[in-house]
Amino acid sequence: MRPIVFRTLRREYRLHAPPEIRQQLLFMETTPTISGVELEIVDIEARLRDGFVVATLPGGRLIEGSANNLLSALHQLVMQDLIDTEPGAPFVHGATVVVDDRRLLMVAQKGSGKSTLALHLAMQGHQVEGDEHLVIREREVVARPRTLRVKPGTLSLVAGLPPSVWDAPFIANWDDSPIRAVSPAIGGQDWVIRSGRLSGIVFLVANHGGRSAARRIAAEDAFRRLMRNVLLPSAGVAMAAGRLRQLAATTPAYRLLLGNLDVAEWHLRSIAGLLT
Amino acid sequence: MADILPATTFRPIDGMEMNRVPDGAMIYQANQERVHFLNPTALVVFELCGMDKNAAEIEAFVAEAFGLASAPTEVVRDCLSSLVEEGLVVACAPSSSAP
Repeated sequence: MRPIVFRTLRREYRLHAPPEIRQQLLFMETTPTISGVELEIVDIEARLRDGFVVATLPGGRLIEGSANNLLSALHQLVMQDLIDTEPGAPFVHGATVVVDDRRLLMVAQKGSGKSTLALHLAMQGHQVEGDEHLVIREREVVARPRTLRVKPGTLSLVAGLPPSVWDAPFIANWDDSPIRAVSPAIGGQDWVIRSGRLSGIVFLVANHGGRSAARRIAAEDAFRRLMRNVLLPSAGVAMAAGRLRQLAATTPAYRLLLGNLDVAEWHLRSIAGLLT
Repeated sequence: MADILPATTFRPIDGMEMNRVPDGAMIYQANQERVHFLNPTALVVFELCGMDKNAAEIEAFVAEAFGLASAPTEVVRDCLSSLVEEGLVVACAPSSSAP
């Protein structure tokens, strides 16, 4: 049976799991092409013992419990991998999408519709690189590999989704509703993550059921908004914050009132058309 | 607002990280887990606080550095007060050599 593959910016983890828990663990699957990087392969063996899932993670941590316990530990593993790979880098919470050859970071608070818009853009043929964090390196940025995490309400908002989206692996939310892991390749394009320059920053503000509208904002405003949506490292905080300020000072920023998805896409294309 | 006298001196608190950026500096206060941004003028004032200068000397330095006709007393004292209130510097006893 093929392993469940999930990639970080430096590793490809291959999780070997028995059929009884495989479907649940497929939620981890994250298979973008990480451009220009030779990934280190790391195998993880999960097995069942007396009804419990047992796995030893890289570094020697032993997990014993349910499949959910293992999922939780694997999420921690992936996050720690990112922190170790990118020491000193701030991670901005947002989706990264390439619209008309311009890389845009869409920053949003939870519930603002970021993943819904990212899914819509993927279905319209735009390249979604990631939906959770953008790593701010000294001279470039790179998206954290992660699938779109989609709630049932989102699926009803995005047109043209293939029926297979309803079969995407899921975990249960606090109210028992499914949160599905949907690949950015759902629209038919390859999922490729490249490091490079950020062309623009778009701060999403929810306007559910309303119209979408965009306007340019000042660098100072952009910096304040970035600081509200950033994960700073535990060491070198001032350096990381400085990197963020530099990004805000040199990258055009916009505020997008997010309502109608087609109109939001039109605004993003208009913004991309203004950027170099 | 902190009471700033001309002879008051200041000392930056320990345990801060500073990173210069093109338009000022980012300061991280580890004990409060807070990040501050200082614009170029505030940065000059902050750095002079670490050089054992008193408030009057800082005003005179800023006036000369920016080519001002008179010492920017109010602006510098507001800035010093903010630095004290934000916990980036502490005010020390006035120095005896102050005017």
